[in-house]
Amino acid sequence: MTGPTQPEVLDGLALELRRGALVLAVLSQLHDEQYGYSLKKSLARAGLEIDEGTLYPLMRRLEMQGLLKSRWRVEDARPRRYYQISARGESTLRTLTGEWKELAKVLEGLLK
Amino acid sequence: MNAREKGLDLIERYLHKVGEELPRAQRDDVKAELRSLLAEQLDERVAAGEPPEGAAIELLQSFGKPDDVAMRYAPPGRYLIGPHLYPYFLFFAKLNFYIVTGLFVFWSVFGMVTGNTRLPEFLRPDSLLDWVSSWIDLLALNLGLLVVVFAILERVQRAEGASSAKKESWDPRKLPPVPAAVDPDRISEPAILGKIYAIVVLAVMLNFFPRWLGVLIFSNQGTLAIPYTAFGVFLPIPLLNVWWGGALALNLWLLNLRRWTREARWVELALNVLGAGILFIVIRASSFAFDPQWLDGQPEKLGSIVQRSLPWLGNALRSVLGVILLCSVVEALVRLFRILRRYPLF
Repeated sequence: MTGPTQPEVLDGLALELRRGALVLAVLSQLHDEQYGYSLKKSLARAGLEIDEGTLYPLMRRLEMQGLLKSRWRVEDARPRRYYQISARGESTLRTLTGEWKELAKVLEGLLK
Repeated sequence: MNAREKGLDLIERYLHKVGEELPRAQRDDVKAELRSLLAEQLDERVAAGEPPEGAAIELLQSFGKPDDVAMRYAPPGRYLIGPHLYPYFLFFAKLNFYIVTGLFVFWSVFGMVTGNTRLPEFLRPDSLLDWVSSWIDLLALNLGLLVVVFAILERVQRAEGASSAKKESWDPRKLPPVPAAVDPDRISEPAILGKIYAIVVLAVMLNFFPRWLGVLIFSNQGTLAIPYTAFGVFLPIPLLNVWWGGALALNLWLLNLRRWTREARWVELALNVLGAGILFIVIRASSFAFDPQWLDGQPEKLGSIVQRSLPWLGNALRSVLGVILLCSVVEALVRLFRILRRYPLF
């Protein structure tokens, strides 16, 4: 059995790097209610591409962890599940933002 | 089916496959959410000029394979055996159950047929308890080994999956169609009519032509009909008539209702229990000893091999009835469980 190729190794590492930032990115954009597709588009406009197969399960998992709340709404004759950050999610976002900024500062120093 | 319907059909097939891998509690809600998201994105692509089926294929491919998507809905590390391997685990667990149970039943029946065990001894409480506990021991051992093997496979597979970021392409058109919903209370009229016919025939034969029920032996010297009474079989005809009457009434009622109801299920269970009770009486009250007087004047119609095997036939009949009784008891318990699950008492 051959091991992964160099591009595959790079892709895997890049994915792991982005994966850590996804939760922060999603929480930060849900102060106002959004549904899955609208969030995907707003993150893409900000430069962060996430595929739907990753984003939608992540939103549901964050809801199960109590960081988001959701409700069904019908708009344009289309039922959609809207998500919004919860109070617990806000507190977690503040903590994670602080940790991210610390980490960014450390890495900036390491990468000089 | 027009192009848009084909696109939506692909999405439904995809959602059905994802749903199969999800825990039951999440299934409907996740499917509803994904349906709304996928339909909206499909409509957007179609409005932009893409052909619907092609747009649906691309959309579903970018979403990911159904079992990968289903896995992402589960919290990481939650499963001992994940949704992808669980159907295979279930298949082997069922196979284990049937093989172990089948072997136990076969060896018990074989023991009775060869005379090593007699049914009354087998049915003694301590002997039955031994049998049941050995059966459970072997089932549990095999199931435990199965769980260990699959848990290891799950971890190996998960480690391999995490190390590869490459998305493999797959074709949503190869997804199986969504199966039609099965109505558990639907009756099959041909089956009901067949049962009514069989009940009437058996009841008439046993009540008015009992000598016609038994063993028919063909030989060079001619045909010999040996009735069941020649094997020392006792049939409680009045009880059997009550059972058949009940079964006939139930089937006629079902034909009238055109579907199963809770009451009909309970009646079916009661008849199941009554049938098992009658079988028990038959086994206890019958000697299964072949009466050689029956061959008076007719032995020349039988070969010597057949004559020697007639007594054996009685024992074999006892064993077969014993197995049928065991199956009836198991069937009654399964029916009871299903009724209580479907129609809880509280």
